[in-house]
Amino acid sequence: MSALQLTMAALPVLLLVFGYPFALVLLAAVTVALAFVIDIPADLLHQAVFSSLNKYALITVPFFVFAGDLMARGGVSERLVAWVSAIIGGVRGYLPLTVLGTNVVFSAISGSTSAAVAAVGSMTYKQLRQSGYSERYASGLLVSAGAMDNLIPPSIGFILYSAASDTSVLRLFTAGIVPGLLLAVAFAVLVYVRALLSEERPSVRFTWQRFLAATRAGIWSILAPVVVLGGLYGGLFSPTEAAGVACVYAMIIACFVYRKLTFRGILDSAARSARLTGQVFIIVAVAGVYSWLLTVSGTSDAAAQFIGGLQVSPWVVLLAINIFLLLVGCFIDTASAILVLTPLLVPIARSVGVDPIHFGVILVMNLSLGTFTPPFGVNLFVAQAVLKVNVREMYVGVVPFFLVALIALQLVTSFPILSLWAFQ
Amino acid sequence: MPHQEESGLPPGEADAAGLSPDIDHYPDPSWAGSVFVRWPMLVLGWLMLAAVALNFANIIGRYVFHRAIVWTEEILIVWLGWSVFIAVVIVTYRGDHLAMDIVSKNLPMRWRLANNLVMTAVFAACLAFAVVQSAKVVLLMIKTGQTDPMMGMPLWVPNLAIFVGFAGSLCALLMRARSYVTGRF
Repeated sequence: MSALQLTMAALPVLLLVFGYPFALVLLAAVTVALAFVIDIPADLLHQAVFSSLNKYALITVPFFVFAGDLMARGGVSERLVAWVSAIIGGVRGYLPLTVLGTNVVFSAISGSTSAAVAAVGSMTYKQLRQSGYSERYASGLLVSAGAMDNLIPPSIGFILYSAASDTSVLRLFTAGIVPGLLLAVAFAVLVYVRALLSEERPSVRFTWQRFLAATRAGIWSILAPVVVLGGLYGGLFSPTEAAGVACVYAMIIACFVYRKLTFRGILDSAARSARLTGQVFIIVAVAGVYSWLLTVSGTSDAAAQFIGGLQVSPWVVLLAINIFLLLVGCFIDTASAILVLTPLLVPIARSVGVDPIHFGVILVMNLSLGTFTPPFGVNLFVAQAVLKVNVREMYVGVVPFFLVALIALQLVTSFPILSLWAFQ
Repeated sequence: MPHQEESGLPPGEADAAGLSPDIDHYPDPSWAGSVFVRWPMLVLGWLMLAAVALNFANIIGRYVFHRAIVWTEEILIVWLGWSVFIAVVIVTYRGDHLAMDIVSKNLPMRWRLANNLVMTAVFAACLAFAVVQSAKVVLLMIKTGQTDPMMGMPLWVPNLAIFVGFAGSLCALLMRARSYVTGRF
């Protein structure tokens, strides 16, 4: 192993273990490499940082974060809950199924799992508890359901992966649809079987009157995903433009239709979204330099050659990567993990013949599971803060959902067609 | 590293979950709080609204008036750079950088302080290195007078954001060095 490879591989691991911020971990590795190890002009640091952010597709992230925040605060989520509940009424386990259905629709307008758990959880948790569902089950359901947000487009995870791997955002969005819905169906089957076994009776019946009333009341919220995804897949807008349109749409309904936000509230939301973006994008910026040096140092190629030299089946490699990513997801937030690991793992995946789009879905899905696995799944923290649930109960509550999600993950890993059906 | 807000969440997640305080209610009323948090937050908010407006105006221009605003992409990319590097100053001042502190948090107090001290020194050194490199590039661009071919905008304008971000972060880090070492913000 050369001095450069050691700097680029061993130093970051050491600093990560000691709790250094991710941006600093990468910046330190790059600084040491440029100052002491590699003989190239050090002002490359500035130029590579500039190039990392000089990508039009990345503008999608702050726009979707802003749109999601506006919709969560602007009264969209409560109307979505009422509408989905009116559709599912009459089915066993209708309330937990409403949570899942609302999450699917909310995911189609927001790209953040935290926003999904906070928005849907604050609307439904009390109702779930009052309907007799245990704290364990209700909290486990809510934090697990939020994970779908990472897979169903628009997904911030896919945008970051796209930036880190030079793959198409739109292709990744399309590839994530079936795996996201598969996860939703897997959770729904679990909820339904549980309802059957516990002989639950639906407390609400489906009526056309209720459905039409909920549709009328929530029509602007229901149209939000149609506007975003319709414009995107209808070829009217690029992903960045669709995200911007989602912001304008959310502002209009939050301010003028539901009257939930004032201009000051919108300005606050805009500032918060920009700050959140900066927190992640400083990692994007430094990861660009790190990634460039990884390529120059031959570290990525060396890792790919090493794996290739083992002559093991691609499935063994993917299984090992899945286990590794599941562990990583328990400790590191999704965005940071994507940015740090993509430059290392994509060459390995390519070396064993895995399509980079399919691999993006596998990577994001693995890390999505990490959002609700202890000890550091971010959805757990959000639920704890918003819903004030007992952490131990929540930890136990996520177990069945995690096991079901593992099956869905295995299916997505084993059958590339689930991700690549649109490109065959 | 990420401290817990009143919500119990690391601040970035509090933002994402809509639980962090609004601009007027950040808990640091000092002049430094205004310079490093409140004013930059206001700038970020207005810039975001302007970016959304420009993006929308471009779509309207294209479909309604059949005339797109050709420099939209360039301006939005410049906005993104400035937005990120203004935000990173706030993030550094508030100790909000994303980190995995599972090991460091469980170290004995004396070791934890030593670890934080080294980390703060490393952070300052890396930022200082980045500031110097960034200054070199920006000065070179001012000297050569390079401009963007689409809009004729001097290239040092977008590049200056990186210098401002790293230099501002270094100042913020030095201002909050004590908090970084103790872990209490």
